[in-house]
Amino acid sequence: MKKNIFWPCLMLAFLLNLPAAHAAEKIRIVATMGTLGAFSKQIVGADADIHVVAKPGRDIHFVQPTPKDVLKVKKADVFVHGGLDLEVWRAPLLNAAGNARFFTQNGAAIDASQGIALLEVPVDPSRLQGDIHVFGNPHYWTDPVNAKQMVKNLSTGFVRLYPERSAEFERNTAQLLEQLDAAIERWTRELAPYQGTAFVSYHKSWPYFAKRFGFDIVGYIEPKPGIPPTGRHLKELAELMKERQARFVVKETYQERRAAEKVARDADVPLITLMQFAGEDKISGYVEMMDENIRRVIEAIEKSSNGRD
Amino acid sequence: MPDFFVLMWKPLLAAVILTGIHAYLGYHVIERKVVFVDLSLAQIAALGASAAFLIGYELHSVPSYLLSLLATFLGAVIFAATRTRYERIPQEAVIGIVYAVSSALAIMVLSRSPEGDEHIRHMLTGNILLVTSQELLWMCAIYGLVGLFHWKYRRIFFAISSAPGKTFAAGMSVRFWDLMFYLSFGLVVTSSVEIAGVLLVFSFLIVPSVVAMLFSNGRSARLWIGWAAGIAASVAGIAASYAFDFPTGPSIVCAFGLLFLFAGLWRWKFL
Repeated sequence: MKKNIFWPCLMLAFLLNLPAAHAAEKIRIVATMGTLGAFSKQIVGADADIHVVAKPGRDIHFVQPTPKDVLKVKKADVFVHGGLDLEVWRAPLLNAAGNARFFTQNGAAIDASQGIALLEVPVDPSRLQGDIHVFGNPHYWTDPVNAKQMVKNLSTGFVRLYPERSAEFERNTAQLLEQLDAAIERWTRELAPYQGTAFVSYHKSWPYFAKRFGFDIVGYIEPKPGIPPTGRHLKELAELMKERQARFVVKETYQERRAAEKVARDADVPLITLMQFAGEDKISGYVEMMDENIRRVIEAIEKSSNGRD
Repeated sequence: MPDFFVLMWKPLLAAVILTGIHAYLGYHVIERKVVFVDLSLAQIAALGASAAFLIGYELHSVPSYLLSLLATFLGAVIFAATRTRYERIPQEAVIGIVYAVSSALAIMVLSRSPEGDEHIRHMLTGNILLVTSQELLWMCAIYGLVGLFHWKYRRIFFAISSAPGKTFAAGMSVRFWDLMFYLSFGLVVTSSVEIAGVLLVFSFLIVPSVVAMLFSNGRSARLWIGWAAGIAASVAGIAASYAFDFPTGPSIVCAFGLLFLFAGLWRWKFL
């Protein structure tokens, strides 16, 4: 018995791993999520060997790292993360990988959240009144202006770690920021007619987006993450939606459909899926992802009957 | 190869330690016909942690741990008290009821707390891949103590698990020793579930003893076969997890499933 499974597996383990060890001269980057991976790729360029831990379409807060993730972190040159308490699994993963570069201050870990004005920062840090996130809402990149700040943070980090290549990185960064500026201008223009539109979302992922483009989030389907909404909560939500004329409901790929569908159906508004992690739906870049999100939002508002007389 | 050990030595060691205590406790659990008792106790522990959370203690803090331990001990009292000499209700039913009610209670408690149940769910899923050195030491200490305790009173523990009727007749305090059994069992399960998750702990507990039962009736033979089988399946599961990049816990559970399948076939074909 022991022999049957054990040795072939171990051999396989051996064989599969050998080629991976010889990636030459590349900058090995582990990014916690697709959005960060995409930005890092654009800043560092062709020499970036990027591994993304949270597969697109998964809940970023709760990822179960696999052995490959641990190995990638162990051998990585740079670790890029969203900071705050976005990745609940970040510390255990770094701990298991034991890569000393990521433990020291000013080490090779880059926190993309530096200098971002956070929303929903709890007033009382005891958590009793609070919210799931002690530092504030960590889904900050749903506002593209914050995405620019992320890019700057990444760029600063990469330049600090590879000063000899700073010219190249800075050039790439400038290009990326230009792209973002152009996109922000376009999005603002496209969304301008819909200023003040109200919507409902499943998880608190979209306050930054709403604030930037002047949307009004009426409420959330999950009163607390993981707790099924109570009847009273749904009733209150339905009343709020009517009162404030919510025009659509937003969920994300990994959230269950049933509750969201019911809320949308009862209010007779469309339900749309928005993406916050580049890589979902085969869309690899941040700008392309937001383009698609905004297209879906506009389509939903146009289709929605709620609030039209 | 070095990568495999550098990366996986902690999960490997953890799996060996877990096999050590659970394959032994599994013997008792099977004898007592209470296979799901660990799930039930784990859920009670989670309820305790949820209550601590509601009062405002962080998960993994000392008060949270103590409260979940206290809850587990309450569960132990219930299980010891409901094991009567002349069984009217099957104990399995009591275990099921406790499981359902404590799960539901935990959800209700958490609906009043500022945060959701993700953290509690996290507590029940564990991740053996990310086990830390401190956790390994902690496991050694707790399981070592429990193991010593059981070794010291092994005669009594084996007697009340296998032949409670006789021990009742012999005038031994079965209730008391049942309580001791469930207390120590609860202590082990609370810690191991947090590290390895309910699925994996259940497999460590049940599969080695069941596989051993296929091949032997003797007590010590069953224990030794259980340990060997448990370690073999753990190593195979961890190797497969590494080779194919599967999540480590579920990969070990499936290795246990395969082990059971092959052992059954072997038994059927050759013995």
